[in-house]
Amino acid sequence: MTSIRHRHYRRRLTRLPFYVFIIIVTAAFVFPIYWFITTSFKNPVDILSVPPSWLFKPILKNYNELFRVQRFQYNILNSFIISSSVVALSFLLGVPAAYALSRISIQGKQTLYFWILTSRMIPPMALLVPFFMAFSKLRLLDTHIALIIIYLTFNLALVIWIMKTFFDDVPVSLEEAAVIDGCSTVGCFWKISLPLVSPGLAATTIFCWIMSWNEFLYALVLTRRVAKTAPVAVTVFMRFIDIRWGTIAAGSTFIMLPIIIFSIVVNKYLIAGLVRGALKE
Amino acid sequence: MKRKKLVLWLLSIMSVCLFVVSAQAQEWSWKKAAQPYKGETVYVLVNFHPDIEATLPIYKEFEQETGIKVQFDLLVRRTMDIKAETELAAQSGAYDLMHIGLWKTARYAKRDWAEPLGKYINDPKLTGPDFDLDDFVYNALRALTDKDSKIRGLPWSTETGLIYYRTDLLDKYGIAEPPKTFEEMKEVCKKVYTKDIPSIALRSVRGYGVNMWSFGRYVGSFGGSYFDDFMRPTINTEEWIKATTFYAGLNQKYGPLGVGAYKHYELVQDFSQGKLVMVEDAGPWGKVFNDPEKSTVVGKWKAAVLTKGPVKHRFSHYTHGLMIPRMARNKEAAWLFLQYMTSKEFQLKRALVFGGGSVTRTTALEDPRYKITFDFGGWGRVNAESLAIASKVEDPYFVPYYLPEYKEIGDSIGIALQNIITGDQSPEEALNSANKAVLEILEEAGYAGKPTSQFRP
Amino acid sequence: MNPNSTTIMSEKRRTLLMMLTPAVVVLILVTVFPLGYLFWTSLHKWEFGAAEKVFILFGNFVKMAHDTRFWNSVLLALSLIGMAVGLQIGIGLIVSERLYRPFKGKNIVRMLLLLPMVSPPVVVGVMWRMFLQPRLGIVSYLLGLIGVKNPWLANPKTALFAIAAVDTWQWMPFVILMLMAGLASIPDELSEAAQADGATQLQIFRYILLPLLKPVIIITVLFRVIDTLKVFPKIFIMTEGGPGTATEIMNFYAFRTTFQYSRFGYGSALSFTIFAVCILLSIGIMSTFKVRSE
Repeated sequence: MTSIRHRHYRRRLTRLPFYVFIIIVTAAFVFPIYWFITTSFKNPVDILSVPPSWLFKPILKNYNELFRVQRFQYNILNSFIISSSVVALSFLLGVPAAYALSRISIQGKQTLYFWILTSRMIPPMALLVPFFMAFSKLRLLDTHIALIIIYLTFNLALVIWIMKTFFDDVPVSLEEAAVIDGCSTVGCFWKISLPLVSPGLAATTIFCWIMSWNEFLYALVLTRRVAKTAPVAVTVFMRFIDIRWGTIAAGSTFIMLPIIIFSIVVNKYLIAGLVRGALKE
Repeated sequence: MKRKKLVLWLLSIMSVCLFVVSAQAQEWSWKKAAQPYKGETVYVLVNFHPDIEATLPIYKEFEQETGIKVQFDLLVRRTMDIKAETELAAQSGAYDLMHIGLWKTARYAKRDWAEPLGKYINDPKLTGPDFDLDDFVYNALRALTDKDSKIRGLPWSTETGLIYYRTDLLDKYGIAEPPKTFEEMKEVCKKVYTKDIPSIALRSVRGYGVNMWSFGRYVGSFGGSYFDDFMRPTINTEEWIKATTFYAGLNQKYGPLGVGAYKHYELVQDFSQGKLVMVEDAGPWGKVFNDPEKSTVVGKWKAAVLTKGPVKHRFSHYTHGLMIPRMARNKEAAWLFLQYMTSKEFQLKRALVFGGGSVTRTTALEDPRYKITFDFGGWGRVNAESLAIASKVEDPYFVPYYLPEYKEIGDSIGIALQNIITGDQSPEEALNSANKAVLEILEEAGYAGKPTSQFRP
Repeated sequence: MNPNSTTIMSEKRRTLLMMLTPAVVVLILVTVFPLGYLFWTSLHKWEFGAAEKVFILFGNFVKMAHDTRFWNSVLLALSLIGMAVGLQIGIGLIVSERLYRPFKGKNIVRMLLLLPMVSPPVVVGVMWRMFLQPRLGIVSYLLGLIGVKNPWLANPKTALFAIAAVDTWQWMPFVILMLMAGLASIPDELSEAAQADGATQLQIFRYILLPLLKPVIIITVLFRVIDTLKVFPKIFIMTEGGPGTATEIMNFYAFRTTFQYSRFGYGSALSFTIFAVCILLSIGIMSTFKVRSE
């Protein structure tokens, strides 16, 4: 009896350093975010106080400035419109393309595939000016469409790449069975393969959305007032000599919030999609 | 008799006409001038700046008086610069007024992106009789005038560098007056230096607008120059070695730890927190040092005019202005607002009521109310005095900002200067490479070998 | 062959092609054309915003070869990649090795690890700039408690490392998750058998897990290398390429050249070079990988 209990306690104890390790690792990644979010509730004195104020009186002044004065909600709305549109369009174009790439047999398929991937390797900086010039001539500056088109560029490759690996996993035999039953190609795609890759769809949605939501450089150069997105609006608060950390933190928190909630809700799919793409290479 | 009557009649008619005409002319008003443009919107792209923030509460009066609406698009300086570049390159016409400053005039003039303002200034319908171009601080206007003497913008903020010093610490060591010459500066630094509170800090980080802004004047002060008569750089001459050695020396011997990585931000922070005896930097900081929320040395400091070198007295200065882009849609309306923002009344009001003190109008500077409002540390008085002296200096080009390529040139020299300060290179080494780099830039621009007078205004 | 199946095949093929084409067309439009324009621009001496330009063929590229500041930026980019990816893989391997076996709360941990990854790079830049403020930032304060006083972002010797560290903070979760998944896909029997034979944890890791993990590591490294080459917002917000040129990596030098010095032609040449490097790198890494997997 004693020896079993003894062994039991022993096991518990050896697990302790393991859990400490996990807590440290997790904290390292989560704590800075936590600290930053709490900064949005602090007044200027607390923010830069030395030693740092662990306990403080929360205020809503920063959020007030953000929404009453700076009208940040419009920027969030812009980001939302743009991100959603990008996701929708990428899916519309990309998912069928991914399916096609998975099923078709044509010459140079691999080259095509590789070339689609390379579009993701273009440094954003490189295409900035050509795009700016083009949109300027087309009078598309400071519109949502401009950003949607650009983000589409970078996201299409991602969508195709991830979804193709998911489609690859769907056994062709399933489709062949359906064909015998009189199913068209599109029908197979829609009724059979698509439902089976829903985890992949979820993962891709998230990635696309995040990428568009977080983008900075193009939004900075291509928007002025009307279509200014949240990440650009947030940098507005880094003023001349006096950086309004509180307001920046508030704005940033708001930018991060949807993503964080989103990610927590669908984190299973996120991770699966991420990993799938890699392991299937 | 009849002729006399006729002459009298004619005279009285003439005088009535003259009276009416002159009355009409005197009747210039904002409202009247803005009549044809009522209802238009002027879009302004400008950076965050204390003087702009002081403008925001009061420009609505312009809207009320003229019916012209004004929309400010405020961005942080470097972000705004990117925006401005792309907008202008694309000739978009989205903005009616855009920021122009010391570093931009040459380029905007070369590309003809900024409308020469002469035609608006001379138009009696658009410009009130009170306008008084000569009332602008001379250097401020000169900064926005190109080498063909065309005025490309109007200034809304101007400043020179100033010395800020701690009165209590200087007193402690029995020093009654702030240093006035380079020699005196060295003496004072030597006397007051302690490890805890170093004597002085000067900008070190390389950049045409960073360390070069502070250092540029030292070159002329030692009698040096940037180019010879035929646009070849003279950066590795003896005067330069003296200037860089002196500047770097102050930082190295009497400056704080890590000063080699100091920009204006660190200088201002340190001085506000009481960790420096003196700083030499830009004018607007006076307001920061006087703000109890930001500074612990309120009431303990004073401002002083920049020190004089062995050969000349040179000043670092900067001017912010607004210009009307060529492709702007509402140019006349834009001009009216620009005129308003830079007028004597507005500049004074902005300064008195909202603390936007870097005014560009001499009448505002000399107004006794201005001097009283900005009397903290004697700032108002010193600012006015400094601007006046600087405006009389023959050669305002403490750096060759009249060249569109100055940014690159300044950066190259700035790199050398920072290396000298950190001790990574000797003055000879660093200046030789800088000279070579600048020569390359000049050759590529096609300037080298041509007479310098062609490029200097 | 069944004649029916031939018709079905071509119907299928047609449909598939139709499904594929729109995406390909869009991609061509938005990549090939701008890239072409970029390349064409890089063949000129062209001031930003000017109408006049001078065709100089490869003059810009020749100039690049002599430009010390360019080579400095390349060196910095490589250093950044080395530091960042090195840290991420190094620490990532250790952490993922400990974490990949199931334990209570594993899902929560994995979820929390996602947070840095999904944060906007701009926000991450702003956040860490605040934390790294000398004296007043919390990181500086905590480090000061153990005697480390250093203005991380303002010190030319440590600025690049600081950027690498922040990048690591943001992306290490990605590496960890990838490696964890990779480790999880290795059958347990292998390590159990080795354990039965008396191998230590370290030996198991080195001789069994690591080799099988190679493909995942390679893909992860590829991703991280390319993404690090492209990093922009962090540098823009935290150091602006400074102090001096200490964090002026290739990407940022191209940015500065175009937007601050107004040298459009040269800047385009720089950008194009970065793109070419990315492609070459990926081809290189992927082909070594393909060879292996044959």
